Amino acid sequence: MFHSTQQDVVDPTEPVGEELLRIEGLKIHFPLGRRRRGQYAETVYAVDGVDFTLDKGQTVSLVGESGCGKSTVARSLVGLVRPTAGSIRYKGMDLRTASRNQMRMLRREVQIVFQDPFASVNPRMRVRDIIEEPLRVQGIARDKYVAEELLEMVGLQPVYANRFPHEFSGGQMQRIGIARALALKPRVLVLDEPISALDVSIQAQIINLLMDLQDELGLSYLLIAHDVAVVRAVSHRVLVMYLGRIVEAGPEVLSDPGHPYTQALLSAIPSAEVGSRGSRKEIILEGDVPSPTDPPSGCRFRTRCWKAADVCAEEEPALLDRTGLGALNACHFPARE
Amino acid sequence: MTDVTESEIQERPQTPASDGCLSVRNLTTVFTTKRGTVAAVTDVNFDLRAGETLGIVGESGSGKSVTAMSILGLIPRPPGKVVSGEIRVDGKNLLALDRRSLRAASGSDVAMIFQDPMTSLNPVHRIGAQIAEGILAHQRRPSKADKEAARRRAVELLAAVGVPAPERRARQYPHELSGGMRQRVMIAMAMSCDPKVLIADEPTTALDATIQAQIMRLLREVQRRTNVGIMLITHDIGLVAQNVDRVMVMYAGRVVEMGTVEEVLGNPKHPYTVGLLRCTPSRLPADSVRRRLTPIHGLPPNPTDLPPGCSFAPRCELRGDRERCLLEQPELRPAPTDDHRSACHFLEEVTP
Repeated sequence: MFHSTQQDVVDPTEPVGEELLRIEGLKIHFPLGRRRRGQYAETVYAVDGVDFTLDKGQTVSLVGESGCGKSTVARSLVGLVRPTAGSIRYKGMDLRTASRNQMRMLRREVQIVFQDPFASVNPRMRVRDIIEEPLRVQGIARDKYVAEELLEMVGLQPVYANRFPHEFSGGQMQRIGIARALALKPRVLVLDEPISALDVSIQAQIINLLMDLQDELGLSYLLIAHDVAVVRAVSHRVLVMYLGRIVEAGPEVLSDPGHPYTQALLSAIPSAEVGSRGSRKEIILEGDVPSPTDPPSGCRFRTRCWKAADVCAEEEPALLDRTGLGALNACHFPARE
Repeated sequence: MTDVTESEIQERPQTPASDGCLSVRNLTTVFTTKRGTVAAVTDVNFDLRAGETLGIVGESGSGKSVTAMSILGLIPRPPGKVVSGEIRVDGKNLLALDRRSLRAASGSDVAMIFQDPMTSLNPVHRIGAQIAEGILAHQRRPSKADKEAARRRAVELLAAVGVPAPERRARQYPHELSGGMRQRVMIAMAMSCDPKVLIADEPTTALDATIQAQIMRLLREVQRRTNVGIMLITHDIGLVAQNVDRVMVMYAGRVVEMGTVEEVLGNPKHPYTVGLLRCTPSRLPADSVRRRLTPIHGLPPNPTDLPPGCSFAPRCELRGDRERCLLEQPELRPAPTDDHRSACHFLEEVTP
């Protein structure tokens, strides 16, 4: 059903589990204030050493609180911010040294869906033009009914192609945002908080749509979210970020957390079961996240951590498989509780 | 440091829990738009007792915020208007008050915390002065000594809501505070005149999870000390499950279900509540990986064009092809006791 005239997105000769994205030592720093004598007053260490890979057909999720750098990582993957250091490789091709043609290919194959569907479209454009714009930009010949087909694919009526954004609800508009991202038949979708602006009953519709599209088209997702429950329900692998670094990574870190920050994050999510009230151990962190312009020495979480010892201030814990269970953990004391 | 140990917020003698401190009867609020009159809230009734927390759940446009604004007399008119009803705080009908008495009542009878603390604080005034302003607004012609006392009280209130170094913070501006700190300032401000009812409209939606936990703990603390009745407006089922005594579920401007939190979340008797609980991802078992969620199909109705019968009927899975749901507006009725009421014609058939 997906533009049958053009070649299929899923190449059957490719093995499942093929690595598409490899991020190594990614650092993204933003200088603040005026430059004096070649020095900036302050630097925001938004992303400060992040490594991960994304395989074909997989969903990798980045969770963390505001300011942890998760959206900056997402934006760097589609070329919206330049890394300060480290490498981003797409199918083995380094973004920094890629030729123009390679960048064109990358921009086709890695697409992004934004949080606020209304803020990411031009309100004066018809849905048809919104959805077809990526094809126009890339100079790809478009079928007469491309917009209609894409709308159908995301569960909307084809006649909506002639309407304007203000005629839609938030959930419908996010479907249109997804249709636009699919127009170039990408391999990877970067989903930056795709449901957090939507009502609960609509969130489930969009999550289900994304999961269906993944199964149908073999897409890979990098999902950026702060809703731990949604992430747990849809991800193959979860990366927990705190202040620019990954503190814990693995397929089940949200069910079986080993890092104190992940434990606190999970404990802070109120359970929807009334029966669990007061029965579970509550970890309430004190204070706020430190400023990313001046992160603490050693482990960045130590200022709010109840396990913090002297070693935490002196030595930065590396992200290693510390428990032998396959999950990576950046804590000197990764005891399970 | 955030643990609130001081009892700076005035202790009030404990009133028995049966004491209804806020009662709302037949509240209907409408807005006049180009496309005609829209009922944002229709015939809402509820009571809030001292020391109790009532959760109001619903999606955007369900009327939960308009209910709160109606209580405080904050509905902009035109285009809005409270067309009928009675809102009583300790027996005094707020809707019958003139402007001056309503101003006196807001803050001391009913106070409110808003969702976004940045937009509800004035960016060009110091924190301490903004808290003191609320206190002084309730005094006629405050003397210099009154102003000094209000300033000191502002610092005490900041300490009571767990703001570290309150003296220094009182002299700072809102942009110098983090989101969690700003929300603490809002709570200090709301509690400054010792209200009987505190309306918290999505108080933690703009905050991160770990900060949300701190703020909810603070609200519980404040309630324990002052016995204030809290109306918690939220769309987060988890917050409701962990923090409230009774719940009111709203849909398209009407209350569709109401009762104790154990009953409504544990044994829902309205198809909308059932749907809402089903699509809440945190209710999935923790080990469920890659599980589909169960959404409610369709979209909430357009408030300018509500269906004549039950507003939820077009999305309801229970309805089947029964005519009654499309023709007759269901009333809230016992399901089966008065402690748990539902507005569904076929509530006996609802299964969680």
